[in-house]
Amino acid sequence: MARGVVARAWVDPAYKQRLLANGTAAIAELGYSGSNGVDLRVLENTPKVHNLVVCTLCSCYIWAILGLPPVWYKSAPYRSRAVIDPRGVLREFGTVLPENIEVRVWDSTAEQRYIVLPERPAGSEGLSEEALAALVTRDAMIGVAKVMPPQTGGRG
Amino acid sequence: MNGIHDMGGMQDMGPIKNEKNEPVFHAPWEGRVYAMSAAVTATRKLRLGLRPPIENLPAVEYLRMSYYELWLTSLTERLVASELDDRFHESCHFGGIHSDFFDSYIGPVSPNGAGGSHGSVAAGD
Repeated sequence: MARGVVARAWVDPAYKQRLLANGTAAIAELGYSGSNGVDLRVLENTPKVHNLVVCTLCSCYIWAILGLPPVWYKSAPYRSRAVIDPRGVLREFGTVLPENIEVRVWDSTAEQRYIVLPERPAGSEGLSEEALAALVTRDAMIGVAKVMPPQTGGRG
Repeated sequence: MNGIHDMGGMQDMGPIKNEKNEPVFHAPWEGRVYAMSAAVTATRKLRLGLRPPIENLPAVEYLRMSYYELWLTSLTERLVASELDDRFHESCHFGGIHSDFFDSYIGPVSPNGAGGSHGSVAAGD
């Protein structure tokens, strides 16, 4: 899984810039391919903006990077509700966002897919790129979860 | 095109079932359907790909089937329509799959059905 893409962006500002400017090319730099004809856009979470990815029509997903999507991503409850009640959806995943944080929902298509660049968690300053990558989860790259600080465990 | 598959904004679909430590496939037949879909798509002989038959299903069928049941239904329909394999003509009909389809292409299905908590296909469905 492409946890390394996120960790690289956290430690290498130039890479992060390339990743946000052209996700398809920047991810190919790290050896991920198989997305021929698919335009990949990377969405950066910030202290003010949280991004959430869905495919309301079916199951469009970053297969080449994240593998096959989980059942819930392809299910009617997630696809229907992510676009009208994203905060409610996030709460179901245990992600409670303050009201002043803007939530942006991105509906994937066959040609346009999205991946979230989560915020680097507090308390991770001293970690190596490899240790940072171990904190990153699939759910954080879809946008239903945040990356947890190292002391509380990152995998979920 | 409007249809049941265009789910954004629909209400009352229930809670999201987030399965912990979810396996990639919930039964061997799901993996076979995935592999067949990839293989058939790679031939580039299917007009319009595999989604239109799924999107044209009656809503009740669409909602009843699990994800890989939808893909299997589409694959069956597309293979018949494309005449990539006319053996499907005898064993399949739109919206349902006969047991000899499984015997030929999917392999034996367990006596309890295919398993998995999100829908299953049993021989004879």
